[in-house]
Amino acid sequence: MKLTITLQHGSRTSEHQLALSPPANAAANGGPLAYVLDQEAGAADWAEVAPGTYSILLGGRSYEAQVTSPPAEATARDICRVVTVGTRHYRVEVRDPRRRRTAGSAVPANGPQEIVAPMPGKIVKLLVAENQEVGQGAGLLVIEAMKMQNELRAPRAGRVEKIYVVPGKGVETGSRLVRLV
Amino acid sequence: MFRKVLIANRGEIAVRVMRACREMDIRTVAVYSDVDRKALHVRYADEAYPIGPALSTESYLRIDRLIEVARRSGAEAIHPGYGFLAENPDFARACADAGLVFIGPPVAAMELMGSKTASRRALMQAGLPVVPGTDRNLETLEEVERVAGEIGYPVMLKASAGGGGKGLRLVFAPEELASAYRNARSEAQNAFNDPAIYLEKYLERPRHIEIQILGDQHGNLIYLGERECSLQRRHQKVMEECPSPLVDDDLRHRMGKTAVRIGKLAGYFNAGTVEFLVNQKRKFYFLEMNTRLQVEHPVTEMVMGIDMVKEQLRIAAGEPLRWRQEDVRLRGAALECRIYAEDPANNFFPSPGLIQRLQAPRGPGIRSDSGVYEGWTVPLEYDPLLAKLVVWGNDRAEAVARLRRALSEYEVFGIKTTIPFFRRVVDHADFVAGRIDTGFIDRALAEGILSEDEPSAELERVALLAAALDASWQWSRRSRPAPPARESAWKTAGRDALLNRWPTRGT
Repeated sequence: MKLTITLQHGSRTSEHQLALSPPANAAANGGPLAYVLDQEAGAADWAEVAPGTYSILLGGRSYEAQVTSPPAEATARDICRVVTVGTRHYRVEVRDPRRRRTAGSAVPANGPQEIVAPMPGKIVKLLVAENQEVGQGAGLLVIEAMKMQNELRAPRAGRVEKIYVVPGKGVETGSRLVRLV
Repeated sequence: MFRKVLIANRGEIAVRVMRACREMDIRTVAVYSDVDRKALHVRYADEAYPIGPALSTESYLRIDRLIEVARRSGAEAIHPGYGFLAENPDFARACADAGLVFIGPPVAAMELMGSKTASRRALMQAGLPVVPGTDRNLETLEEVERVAGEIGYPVMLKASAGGGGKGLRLVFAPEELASAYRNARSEAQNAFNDPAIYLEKYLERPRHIEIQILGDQHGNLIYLGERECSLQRRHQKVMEECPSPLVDDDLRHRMGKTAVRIGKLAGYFNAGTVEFLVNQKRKFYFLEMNTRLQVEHPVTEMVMGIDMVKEQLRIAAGEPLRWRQEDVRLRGAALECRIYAEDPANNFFPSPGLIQRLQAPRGPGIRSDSGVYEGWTVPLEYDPLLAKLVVWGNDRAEAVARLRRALSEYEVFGIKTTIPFFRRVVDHADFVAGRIDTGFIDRALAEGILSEDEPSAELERVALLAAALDASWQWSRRSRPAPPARESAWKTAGRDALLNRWPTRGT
């Protein structure tokens, strides 16, 4: 079974084709593994040492990967996970080959993005205007929460298509703040 | 010795105080707000009582409710921890009036040192070195402008009733003064219910070095070395160490003696900390005094080999100090990181929520003072300090290497923490060399200390394999109506829990 996997780390996103042999199933929890990654063959040994924790040996080099679910993003069809290897966090989306490719990726590199409030607070100041182009990390607005003022930043470069709030407005977790395209 | 003590606090410090009590066979009484019913300090205590809704002013700051719980539980003494009511003389007085022992200094010392201007005035009059500036509140903008002109820019506007890094504004030029004054006053009013502002000269690249003092109720007062707390973000400490890389025996002795003089001036007993700013020429100036146990007390404990909370309990119970100044010895070096629920990649935005996984570091020389556990939901309403990671080494180099190792073992999933930020700090050449000052973190952030890792094809390969194995397992499990007999129900439950399918109670 060949899987299509999108990998995102920081500002870099890449897509890969990976086939495992033998294919992992619910009964197995480890063993030798042959794989083909982006047309290159390789071998590994794997073991699930704790739920969601994989020990993977590549040519004798030992690594550990934790697979967790980003909160509020469990999707039924494709698998979207955070895989932590050492101190790095990768967001991965593994597409189910038995289904049609879904329209919107859970790891949007360029699609429109609704930026929402991560927690209740009050909008103090807007730092951008509608139609403004912003770079990744640019300050969008200032929210007051947990007794401190905090600047919310653009997760990627783009254009501010719409601002849903004004200074002084109280927001709840999940309230739409800015639409970035 | 007390038989029962009420801890008027929450989080890691409440657990830490309870540990000392447990070692001394003192029964512990916890108090909790509505969102803290499942908190670690409630689970740890021998007794626990509710004190109100989540908002601090309706719970942890309610003096009447705390006294009432003490009465009901039969607690003889109250430990206030840090923050909340720890430096509130009204609380100390209320305890005394109710016949309870307040584990801390006398009320008069709290009142003198609690006012930044009154304490500065007292020390100036005693001829002690103080950060240049005013000893009085400044009532009008004109007065502020005049004094700033006399002292010379840059200046720091400070809240007189302040602390914890709030109500501060650094002003580099006269044009900025008016708006900085307005903002400082309003922040002070909101945070401390008192808009009074005073002014200090801002020292060039100062180091924040504080002296721990400890005194009994029989007039004995000693100093227990220093702590370097220069690693701050937004004027709040994030990393501390003991001893300070800058301080030699002579400077320690002079600062320590000065701190003891200051303590005696205030009639101090129990544990307290005198904070100094030290300039590049190693001249030190009194900044303020904290009349309580400090967050960073563990680094002193590790290097001095003492348990400060136990000493606080002994002193409050009337026992004499167990050491003279000449008995005090430093051994090795300790470093502490404050692990906050904040996202360093997003300007340290608070990150409350469910902790899906938590694995703290272990092994030689590691101490972890935590107020949270795996499965706990960090609430919004309080300071986002999760835990303190403290390491000890035979010297600073070993402590730094140990801290680096410990941070690499620290796993927290579900919320963002400042752990990735600390991992970068311990690799920074200036930090490793001990070349730090209060501007270090801001400069490091501006210089891109949180820049992306270089890509690693090998680590990406591991991530892809793990993701594929996990996904295949998920799909094959779904396509079978029942798991095969070999599969452990424990493993399935663990996996479900990890993948965010906790029995929901509205996360």
